[in-house]
Amino acid sequence: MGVGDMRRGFAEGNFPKAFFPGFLEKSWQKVPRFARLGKKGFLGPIGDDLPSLIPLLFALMLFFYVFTFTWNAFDQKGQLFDDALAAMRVGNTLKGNNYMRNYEAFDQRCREAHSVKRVKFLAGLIPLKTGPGQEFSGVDVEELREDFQELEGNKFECSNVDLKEDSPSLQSDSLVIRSFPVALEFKNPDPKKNTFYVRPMLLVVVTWR
Amino acid sequence: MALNQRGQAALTDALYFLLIVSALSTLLFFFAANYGQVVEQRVVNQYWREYATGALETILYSSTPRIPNESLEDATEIDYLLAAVKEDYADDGEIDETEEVLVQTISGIMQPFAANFDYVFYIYLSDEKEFAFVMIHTREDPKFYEDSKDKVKPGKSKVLFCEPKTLNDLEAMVESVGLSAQSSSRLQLVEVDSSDRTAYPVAQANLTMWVPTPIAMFIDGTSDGTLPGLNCKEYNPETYASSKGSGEPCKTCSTNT
Repeated sequence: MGVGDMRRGFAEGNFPKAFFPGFLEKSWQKVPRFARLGKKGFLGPIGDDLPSLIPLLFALMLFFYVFTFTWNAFDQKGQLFDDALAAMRVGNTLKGNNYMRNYEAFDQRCREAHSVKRVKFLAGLIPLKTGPGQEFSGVDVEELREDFQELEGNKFECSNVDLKEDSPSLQSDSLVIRSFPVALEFKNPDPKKNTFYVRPMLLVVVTWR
Repeated sequence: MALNQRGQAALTDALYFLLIVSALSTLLFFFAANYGQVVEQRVVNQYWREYATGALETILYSSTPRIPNESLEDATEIDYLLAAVKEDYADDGEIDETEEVLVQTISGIMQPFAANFDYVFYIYLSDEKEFAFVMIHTREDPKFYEDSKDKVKPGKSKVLFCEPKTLNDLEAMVESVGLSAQSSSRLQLVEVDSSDRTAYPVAQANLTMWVPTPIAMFIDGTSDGTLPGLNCKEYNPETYASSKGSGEPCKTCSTNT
């Protein structure tokens, strides 16, 4: 059988035996082309596929739901990392080598910390008590400013926002709190002594959006 | 395929499509749920390490009055805690007179984290392979009450002074606690022997913190001897002064470091 014969056979609906086993050939010959078009149950090209649209639409809905969920999860976690890293950056800039000589050193580092732009922040020093039976009372975000150390009229406080207009609260968006121990140098209150001592302090950094 | 089976074929195709999309969606969902966990852990761990490093430096920078009962503001003489510790060690090869002020300083600095973390601070002489000071902050196991309203009560935190025989005994405990943050600093202590010869042994000050984990078996040791125990005694601030006889001015207070 040549290629031309095969083509003719296909066109006429007759398939050569060499290509199909007997039962397929029989069933093909039994059902003439378009024989069922006018019979009951055929709803047309779209109507016939209508039941298949239900799983199709369900699959699409499922896919887009999961895609949106994934997108949001990426976005949310990316923002969480950004906020955590920004708080760490503010903390690292402010604490420097964990030793603060005076308020000027703190103020200098505070100006450097203003380079962190993505988040709003409030930071400051809280005294750490080291005596016997002294308990750390914790950090209250909303009353934080009252706990900040004051020394010679200067409050160890640093922020990149106007705190009269905006201050952190527990309802703030993306609130991150980080604390770092630092050593702060104090001049002896007695000017005759001309000595200093170093006390442990807690640098508290709060960031929000 | 027969035309009367056309709808079924389309339905089968759609079901296959749904199956593939479901599998992909499940994969995507699990990927999204686990996304960033490693990064998150690293960010948190970085923060712990920053805290441990800052705490160790602050402990070593802190001042202490040379007469123990004085406050820093009114102290006759003030010294760095590290200098006082060195002087105390040089005196008799032990950290005993400054032990309590060292514990109080460490506890004070670690207090913001102490509710959620346990820690160990030690000074180890690497040449002589012995510990000059070991302090462990840990907590008792939580207690369970069937009848009480609060069924679980967290264990009381406690401070222990320990004398492990080898560094391995302590490291075995630190390795068992899982994720930890560690910071260490090199120190040079002073030793004066009976013939007034001075040596400068190199020591390592180390602070390691971790999320509370039961470590009682490491502290007490096991009966079969696989864990020798750390020879610990609990620190009690109320009875410490009487048991140690401190509270008196140290005998080297009048000399400068």
